[in-house]
Amino acid sequence: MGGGTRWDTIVIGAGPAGMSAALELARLGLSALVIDSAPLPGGQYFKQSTLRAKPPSEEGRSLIAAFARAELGRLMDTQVWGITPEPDGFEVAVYRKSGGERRLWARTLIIATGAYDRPVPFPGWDLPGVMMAGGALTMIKHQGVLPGRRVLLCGTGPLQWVLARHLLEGGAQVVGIVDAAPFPWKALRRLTALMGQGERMREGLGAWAAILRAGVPVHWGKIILRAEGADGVEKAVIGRPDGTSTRSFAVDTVCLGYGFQPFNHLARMIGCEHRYVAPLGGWVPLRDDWCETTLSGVFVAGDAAGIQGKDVALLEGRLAGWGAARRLGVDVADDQVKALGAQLRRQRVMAQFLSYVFPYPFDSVPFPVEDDTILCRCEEVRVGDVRRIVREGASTLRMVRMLTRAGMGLCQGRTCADLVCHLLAQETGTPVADIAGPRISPPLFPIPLHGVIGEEAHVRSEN
Amino acid sequence: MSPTYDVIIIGGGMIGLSTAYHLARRGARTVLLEAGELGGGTSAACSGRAQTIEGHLDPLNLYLVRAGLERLSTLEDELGHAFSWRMVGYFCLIPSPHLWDTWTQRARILSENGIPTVMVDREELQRAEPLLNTAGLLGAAYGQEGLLNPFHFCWAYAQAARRLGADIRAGTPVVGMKAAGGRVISVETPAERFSAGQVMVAAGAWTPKLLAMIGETVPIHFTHAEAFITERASLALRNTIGMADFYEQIHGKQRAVSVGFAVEPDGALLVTEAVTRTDTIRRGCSVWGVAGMAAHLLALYPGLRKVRVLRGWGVPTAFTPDDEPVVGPMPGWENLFVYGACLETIPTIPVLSDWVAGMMLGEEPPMDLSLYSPARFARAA
Amino acid sequence: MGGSVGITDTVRVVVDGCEVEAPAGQTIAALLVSLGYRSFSRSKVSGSRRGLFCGQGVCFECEVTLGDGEKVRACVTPVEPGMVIRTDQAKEA
Repeated sequence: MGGGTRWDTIVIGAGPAGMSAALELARLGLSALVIDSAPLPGGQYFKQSTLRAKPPSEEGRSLIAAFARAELGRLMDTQVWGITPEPDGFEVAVYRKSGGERRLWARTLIIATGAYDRPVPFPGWDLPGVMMAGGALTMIKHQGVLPGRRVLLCGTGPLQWVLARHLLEGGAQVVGIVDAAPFPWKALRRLTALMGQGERMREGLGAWAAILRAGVPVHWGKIILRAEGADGVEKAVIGRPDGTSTRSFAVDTVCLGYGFQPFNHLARMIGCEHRYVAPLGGWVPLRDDWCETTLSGVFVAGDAAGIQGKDVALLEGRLAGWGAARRLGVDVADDQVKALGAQLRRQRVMAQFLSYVFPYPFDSVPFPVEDDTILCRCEEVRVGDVRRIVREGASTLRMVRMLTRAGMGLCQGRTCADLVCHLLAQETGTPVADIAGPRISPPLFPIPLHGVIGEEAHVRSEN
Repeated sequence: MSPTYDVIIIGGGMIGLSTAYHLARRGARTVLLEAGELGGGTSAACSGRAQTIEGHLDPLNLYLVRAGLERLSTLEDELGHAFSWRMVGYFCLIPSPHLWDTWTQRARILSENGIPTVMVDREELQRAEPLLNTAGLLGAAYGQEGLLNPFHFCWAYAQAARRLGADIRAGTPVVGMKAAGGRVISVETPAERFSAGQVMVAAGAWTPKLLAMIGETVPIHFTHAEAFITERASLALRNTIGMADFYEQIHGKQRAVSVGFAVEPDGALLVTEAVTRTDTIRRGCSVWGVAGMAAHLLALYPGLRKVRVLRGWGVPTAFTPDDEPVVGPMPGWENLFVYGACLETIPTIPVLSDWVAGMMLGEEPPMDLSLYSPARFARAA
Repeated sequence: MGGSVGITDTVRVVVDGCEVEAPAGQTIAALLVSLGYRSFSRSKVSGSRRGLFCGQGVCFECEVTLGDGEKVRACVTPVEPGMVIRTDQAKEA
């Protein structure tokens, strides 16, 4: 195992869930190390700009400040790539470009790896200029650079409105916002009632002012159908999922905001049982009331356990921190737990409501793809390649991967695995929930050969 | 109930699938039952090497390798599906004088038997592999061997077998078998019971578990073997590399690494092998395995340090106490065959599976296969 | 652009052979976009141009090569003084 600190808990992810968990552990006098692959803590919801000139954002400011002050270990710019269970804890393998310890050790783990934008395939989605809404938002909001000048937003839900506002403020032309959901007449009253609760709702609805002022047309009940262009996107076509009621836009950028999917890869890799829950974004870990997974001592909190938003992440982080503390013999007062439980229930209800009003449309309609549409971007595997293999008898994601190479590229299947699952579900008539993802083994991320080696100079064989 | 199928094959890796193909070619009504994905066990985990110079030097194996390679050279056309078949050079790196002597003898025997193998001293090796760190190496044995894509290799056999009428079923585990009086009576899956004609168990490391269903055993053991693949490496590597002290490094150890690699058509390196002694069949690879293989690889090729590891995996690999395959009818049984634990599987099965299919239908194999017979374990006992 | 604050720290980097002043801490991706790059890399299979896609470090399509040969994701890597950055294509207007 080697020398080095033995932490009570290693928290993987320094977003709202991770930071909240770590703060609770510190408060309870336990030793916690927080690891994040980003240069600065904050995750996605509280992302901090790397731009030195940018003032720290208001969002999450007090949390980030508390996190910086607390008695905690913190390792930024550090990529976790493997975990080895040991008799009374876990060894965590990490890679840091600037060097440092390569193996860390903790008695418990809290996985708070968050989520990432959910890609959607369509003809032309591989053209430069087609990008995720989250990436576009980071570019304009945190880096002060417009991702494009004539932008079409296609997706569903409030993230698009926030992005639209930032783009407009940055001087871009937003040619349209296309929401897959029908106009939420029935939900309108409840939505406006929610406006006062939850920062995210406030921000989202607040963006409407900018959108209405700028006269940005909003199209409901429509999806992106295709993008066209030579060296980059020049034209985008939207319409109803059945291909009717189409409209074209001259654009240089298309932002896709079709929701998020949990970054569940680490928890899956170490063997936590997962199940498929569509409204939560896909495969989520089975957890008890303390956010503990089916692996004793391993907790998952926040969006990595299902897309429920920042407020749920903050609460789950605390809960997971308490769960880990209990495992380590430190109890938390009952009334505190009850109070948090009540808050959590409320926030979860709100998150569920949002995902009900703005569901991922492709759980019920097929992707707008043709045979020659790329499905696996890294290896350029096309929809037709997958369809052919399925016709020839392959019915599992793993078989599709083995025979077409879909998922074997640099992104390690994070972009296409869910897409292939949905396509397989459509082609075979099997529910997506019954299509198992392929096994995930270390390394969790591509790591240079020199970076995976442990501290020892040699790796000798053992008797 | 008369059997619907003449032959039931349990196990859908390259061994079972190639046998199913040859049975179907002969017109035998064949069903193959694979619990998971076709080729999804040990077959999917191998590097796709058609080894030529590393196997046993008995006339049987030498013949099978030569004939197998010849068959492989046209097999893509024969099966109607490409599997990236190609011939490459193989350097078996030699780190000790005693292995140099052993390999000098081996090279002579191999060359005399139609598998040209030359000894390459350190200087020559360095010229052939400029990026290799030859420190501590005396040189290498060099021969030509094959490489293919194991997924497509399995798929090629599966599709060809299907076209010829075989019933190939993935996702179909065998959950029970009934036997009486030295006969397998039936084979059960969750949905169906198959009345047995001939039954072959070609399930690699899973074979003992299946044979236990009818109270039978065979000494097929397994280790857990791990490998990984890198991103496309931009360095101009082409030859397959392995260590001559593989068995010395691995044998008797709880866990050990002996490094080797094959170069994929797109330039990625498929790196082997971290081996762990185990009683449990499991999948996936470990931090230890990835780190160990990387360390050994960089000791040989320091210039690769920035190339990224992309994906690791691990499977059980089957072996027998004498490292010879198990092929043939189970002694004391009328209709039960076992086929597996081959050492040089890919180069030999294109011909061996043809013979085995024939054997199951009463043909005499062209060469005496008693070296591989399961009966040898009863004899030895 | 929205959010900038008066005088900013800049660092000198080299992008495809051209010396450029970049705001300190800016991601390579943001720098390249502000320089007019629409794509930074090419598909490893067909060589077709790829632009920023996920912007979050997941898709690996924004990889650029640094002076020491290391490949990094432009969207999550801040520039550093003296960085030498090579994309897979020439700048597009």
